[in-house]
Amino acid sequence: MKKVSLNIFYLILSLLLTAFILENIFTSGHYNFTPRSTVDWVMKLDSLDTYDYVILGSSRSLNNLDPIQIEQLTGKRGINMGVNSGQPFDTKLFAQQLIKKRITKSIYIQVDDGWNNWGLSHKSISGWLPYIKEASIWEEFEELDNKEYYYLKNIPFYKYAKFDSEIGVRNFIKGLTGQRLRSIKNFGHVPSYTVLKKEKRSLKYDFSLQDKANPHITEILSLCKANDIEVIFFTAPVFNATHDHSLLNKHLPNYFDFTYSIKNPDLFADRRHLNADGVAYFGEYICNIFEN
Amino acid sequence: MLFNSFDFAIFLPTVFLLYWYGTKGSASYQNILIVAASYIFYGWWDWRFLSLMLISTCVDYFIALAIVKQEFQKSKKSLLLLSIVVNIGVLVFFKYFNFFSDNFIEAFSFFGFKFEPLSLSIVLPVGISFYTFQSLSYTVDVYRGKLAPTKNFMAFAAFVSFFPQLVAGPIERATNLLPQFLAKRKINPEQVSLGLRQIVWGLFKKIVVADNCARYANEIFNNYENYNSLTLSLGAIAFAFQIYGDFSGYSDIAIGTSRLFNFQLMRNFNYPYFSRDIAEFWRRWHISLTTWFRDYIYIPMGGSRVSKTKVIRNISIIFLVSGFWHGANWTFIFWGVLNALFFLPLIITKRNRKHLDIIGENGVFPKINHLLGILLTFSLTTFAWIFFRANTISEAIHYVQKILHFDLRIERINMNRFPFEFIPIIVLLISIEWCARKEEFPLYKKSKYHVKTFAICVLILLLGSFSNIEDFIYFQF
Repeated sequence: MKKVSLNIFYLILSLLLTAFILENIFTSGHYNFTPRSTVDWVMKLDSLDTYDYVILGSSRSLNNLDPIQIEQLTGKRGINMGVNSGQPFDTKLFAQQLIKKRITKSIYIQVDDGWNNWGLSHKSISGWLPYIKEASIWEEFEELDNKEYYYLKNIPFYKYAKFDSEIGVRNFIKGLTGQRLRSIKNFGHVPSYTVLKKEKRSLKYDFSLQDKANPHITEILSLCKANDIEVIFFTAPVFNATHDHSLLNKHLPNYFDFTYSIKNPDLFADRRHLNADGVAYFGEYICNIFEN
Repeated sequence: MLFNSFDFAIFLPTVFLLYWYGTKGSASYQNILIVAASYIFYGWWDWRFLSLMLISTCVDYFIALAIVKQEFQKSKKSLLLLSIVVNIGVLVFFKYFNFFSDNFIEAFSFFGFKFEPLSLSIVLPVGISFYTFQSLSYTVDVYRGKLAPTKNFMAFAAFVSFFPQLVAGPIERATNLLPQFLAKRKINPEQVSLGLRQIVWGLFKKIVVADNCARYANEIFNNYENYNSLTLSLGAIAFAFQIYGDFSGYSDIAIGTSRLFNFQLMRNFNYPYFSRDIAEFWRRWHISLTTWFRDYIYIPMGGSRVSKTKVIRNISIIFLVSGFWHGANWTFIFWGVLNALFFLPLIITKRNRKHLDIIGENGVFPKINHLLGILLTFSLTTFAWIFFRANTISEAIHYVQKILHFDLRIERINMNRFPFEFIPIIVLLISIEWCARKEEFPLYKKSKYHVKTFAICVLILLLGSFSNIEDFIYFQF
């Protein structure tokens, strides 16, 4: 039995060592290979990559605004760094990186009922995990006071196993073979070509907003102020919303509410996202806030 | 408690240490510990259903003791009938009540009668079909005189509730497992090492093969109307490997766990996708259930030693019962009927025992006719799996109809959207299993087992679908 116990011990030890090696290989892949997520992209930007503006937020940023169209309309060159299921916490991390690397002087942030969310989403957070050991990023995760992030930071390879469909082996191979994130060539914009389904057109989009400042947005505001960065907030169109987002005026400077700016259902892919035609229409509608 | 959960990773070593180092080697203490551990293991899902297991245990224990005391065959038969009625009655109530009630009302409404719907919100106890059959086999064997009834209640309770195989088999025979609970058990390092290797292999099949295939299969089966023939065919193949990896993975973990406690369970899978015809497939797939049906239903009905018509009847009944055993849904019954239809031509032409040897025994590759046989058998079983997986018969028929449109455009399978790693994973599984087809499982042999076990662990780490951990499919049965 002693031999079996020793074998088990050696197996566990070898696995730990392997996990440690794999952790380092996968992490260095994120630093060195082709960007496979918007987070990889922002981490790879350097001070030579400057833009007139950067758009941040959720899928309602990356789907609804096309920087190529905005450049054609305004002459301003920018990128869209919205992420699927992005929350104010993610937006703060992006803003910190942009400011640290002096990428832009203007940040546009899409806000909506995600305003109520003070935590982070499982989906959007995976992109940050390969960089979780960086002091400035870990500082933010540490503040969330959740043991799970200690495990994700310190247990070798745990992050890559737990989030395997986002940052696991498939993503690693794609990075290694140079398969770039497709949205980068569109300056971050991901277009949608579907049209809001007929049966969903009569449904109301109901939501609530809490009348309280979001701490992550407050941090962004003070960081931008300290670094002389202009920050503009806006809400993209929502189809059949029960009310607008004007409450956010109370908490945000430079806020524009476009909740009701588009009423034609044919311009929506779903109730919260515009399709390609909707993006073209909205781009013209919103371009003056980029011009000024 | 799932075998692939953190809870079980704590539970198993604790029980292992207590079993070997806290019972002073006494079989009685070991049985008490097994019963306690098994009831905790089962109660982890829903403690209320522990009473059902206890009822089944008590009924069969006392009936078996009473059977041998009877002088007349008629009284023995009555007692056996009582055991069958209680066990099957509980099973029917929990598993089939709503099915029968709904179909009864539907059938009578067809003739103009109207009944108020009587659907009860019954929760299906996990693994009820497995432990009911196992417990029932004991009274049948005692009645047939194959086994003397045990007076040791704790050993019998441990036999019924033995946690490694409690919820999804293998369905053990009392003649094999019960004597092991009555004997003195000593720790066997060989068996512990073998058991651990089998657990690792089972985890590989579950976490790497089944759960990766599940991602793809679930998407395709849940939205089949959006996909072309090629995608739907890939979806069916993904499900064929999902169910194999899931169920045979569970069986390997169950058998491996039993080995840690020095118990030998029967083999439940024998590389079924290398079968050259359907008869061979059913000798290699879910062996414990197939042989249960053979011994307790098929042979008592006369087996194959009766007229051809009766053999056809017997085979049809076995496959129907097998389909129905899986669940109260017409999809399972249809799956059983399909398998009967695939099987019957072999029985009629007496070719059902043509392939009893190990495939490619003396070579590296199979003969071309064997390879064609494997491909045909796999296609037939995969076709039947469509009915097994679909939510309703009409969905399954639509799924098949869409496959028959033969829209094979590769660009329509949407390579960027789906996790296509399941394809190389299937190729990897087939390669490993082909090389190991003469062994019970790929890590069985002692040669270089350290390296092989380590390699499989690394593959689990690298390719495991940890973000998409699915319940074991057979828990619902």
